[in-house]
Amino acid sequence: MALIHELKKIWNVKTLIIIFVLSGLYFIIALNSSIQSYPSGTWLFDADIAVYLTENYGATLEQDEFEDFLKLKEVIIFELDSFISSNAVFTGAGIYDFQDYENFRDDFHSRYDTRSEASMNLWIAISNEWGEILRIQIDGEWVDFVSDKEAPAAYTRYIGFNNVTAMYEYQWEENINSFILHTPLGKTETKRVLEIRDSGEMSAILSGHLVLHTWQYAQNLALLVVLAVFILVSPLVTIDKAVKVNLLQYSSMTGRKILKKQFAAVIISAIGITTLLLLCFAGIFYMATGARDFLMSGINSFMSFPYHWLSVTYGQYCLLIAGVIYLLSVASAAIAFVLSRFSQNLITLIFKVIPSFAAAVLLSLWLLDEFLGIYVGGDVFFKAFSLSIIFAAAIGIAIFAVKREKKTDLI
Amino acid sequence: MLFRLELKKILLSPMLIVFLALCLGFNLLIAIPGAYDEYASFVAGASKTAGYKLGAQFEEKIRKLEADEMRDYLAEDTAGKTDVFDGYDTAYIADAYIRRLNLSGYAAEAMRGKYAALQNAADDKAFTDESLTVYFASSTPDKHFGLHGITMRVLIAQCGILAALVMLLSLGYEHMSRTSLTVYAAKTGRNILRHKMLASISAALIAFAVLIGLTLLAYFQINDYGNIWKSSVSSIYNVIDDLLVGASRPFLTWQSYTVLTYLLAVLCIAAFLTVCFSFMAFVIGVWVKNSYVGFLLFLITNAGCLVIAIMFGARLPAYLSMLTPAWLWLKQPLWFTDGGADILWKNFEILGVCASLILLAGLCVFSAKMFKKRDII
Repeated sequence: MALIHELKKIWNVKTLIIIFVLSGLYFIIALNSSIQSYPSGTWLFDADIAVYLTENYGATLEQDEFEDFLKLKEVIIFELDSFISSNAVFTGAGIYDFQDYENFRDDFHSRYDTRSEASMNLWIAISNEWGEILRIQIDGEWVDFVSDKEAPAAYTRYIGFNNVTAMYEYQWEENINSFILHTPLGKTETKRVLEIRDSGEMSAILSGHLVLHTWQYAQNLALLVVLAVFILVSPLVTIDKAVKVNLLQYSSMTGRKILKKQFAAVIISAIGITTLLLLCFAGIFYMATGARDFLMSGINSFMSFPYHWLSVTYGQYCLLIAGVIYLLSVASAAIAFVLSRFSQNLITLIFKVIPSFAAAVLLSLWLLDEFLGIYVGGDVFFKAFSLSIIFAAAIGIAIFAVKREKKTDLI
Repeated sequence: MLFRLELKKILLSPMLIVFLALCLGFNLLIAIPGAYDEYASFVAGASKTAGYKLGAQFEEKIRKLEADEMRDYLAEDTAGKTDVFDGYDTAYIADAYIRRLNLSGYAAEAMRGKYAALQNAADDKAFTDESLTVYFASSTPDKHFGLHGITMRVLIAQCGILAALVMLLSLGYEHMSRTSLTVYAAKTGRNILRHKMLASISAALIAFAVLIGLTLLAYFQINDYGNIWKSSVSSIYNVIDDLLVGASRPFLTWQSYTVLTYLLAVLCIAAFLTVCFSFMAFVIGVWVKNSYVGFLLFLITNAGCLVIAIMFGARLPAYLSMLTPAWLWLKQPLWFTDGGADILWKNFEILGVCASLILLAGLCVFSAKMFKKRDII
């Protein structure tokens, strides 16, 4: 009963409204940019190609499936032929299909020193039709020509198709070998990268952009969770102390157990608010980016970089991120509880909460930075160890404060 | 008398001292060490003998320095530089912004006007060869952003939060110590608000001086500036990456600033910005009894100002929101320059600070007057 009463005190309408408003503002300021900058709607980046591949071939792309994917090239070339034959800039230059264009392009590139002004202008006009940014040297000076047109869908599909086929055929292996050769990795890191290369798990279909946007979004979301936890739970004990209701409670033997109940309420509330925020904002991310299609895909994929310490699926990767956020949230709640216990009034509390929040923010950013990625200085075991120690210390200090309460003088 | 007592109450508060110490610790550990740069340090050392003005004399003096890799690199880095403002035309920036943001009407006109005015500044700088100063040579963008984009921005944020907390502490003191009913029962008692406000602003400015003074002292102990202080901030090496223009462009200030005078000007605006945050906290603190909620409302107000610009894009409310304290803080690395695509008016930092001070001071007076007539319970 006392626990429910404490929970009611924490989950008061005023605080919830503040958290709701702050979450909305925070979404617009920080979280939404991760969603807006997600490169979907074009094949220039691998996000939409990954969706196409997953829809057609499942979580991995095997050799026979890749052969089937290659047939798509004919369709894309047909689309390009249609675009070119209906475009006056191309037809005016005597280019009627994609083969003509390729001939023109190769011819242009082969005449590096003997290009006429007319052919240069034509090349600029054609690049403009493709929606490209062109950088060419004119009279010894590099000049940029930024297209004022959207790249046609057929052309972006062509670029994306070529990139992905190259990635699948040879680039993924070249990249991983180059990573081993040119990155000052430790023994364990090298062993793990070799294991990934030879295990066959690189056939997984997963966009590198999705992984990148996931951990970046998670970093921002972790900040919101920690902020919400601090706002929600920290005033509980301080308010009781400020109105001196704790003296009344503590006058009885059983009353001194109230701090234990308050601690339990704080932890339950932290888990509750974390769940709400994760469901709401992770849900928005999954719906907006189409991430739900990749839950079964391995995170080490021929399409993406960097490589990861664990051979898990994207779904498990997200669960691990959620786990880290829960641990951060509970640790923050325990710290907030201790700060609340040792603050005489709400202003004192804020003076203590702000530095703690800043520390929690730095910790969250560090822990989730390139989450599980193999990179120099990104020792995942050290991060896991640090998180465990901080979590244990926060809970330990809170439990110590609760136990000490029974014996301490109150006035 | 009351002012002195209120100020004493704030300054002797252990929380304030501990908070200042924590901020200082944070700055020393996080906001400063990354700013160290070996090449920049060498340039600063070289400037003591070679001076700060680029040209034949500078190159000659550099050649006389002890031969090593750094010397050779600096010689190569500074050889044959020409004035970047010679024939520099600012109109292309306005054109790029107007085209990329689809500006029309007043916004397009104001944008063109701003860059037409900036042309005069560029011409003046061309006349005095202002860009031909070394600053930190090719390390300049990193060093300049390190101080003005990171360290100063962290410091101003800390001072803003401190100013709000100090104001809320002072205003909430009577409620916390349960003396509000006694103090505010009398008509003269309600006048205490004026003393509280002045004491809080004074305390915030004292905290500002201590925090910024000690942090910058540590910063300049780590980062030698040698003769660089006299170099112009509009040095040829100081460039801003501008995605809308599609290239980097010079750090072009409205007036001529050396590194030293620019820092002093930034500190001056930062102090006024701290006062703005104090005023904002005062308005909230008068209306909201609970200081905890008051501080959260302070955060919401500032976050709301940031959101206006995001929601409205390239429209007038967004441009007006750029003059609010929250945005002025975010735009700090561009103070005293044109401010980029989000800014329509010349000297936006001065305009913003003045407008914010006037508006917030008006709200403070209104709130204080209402407080005198309000029921306390």
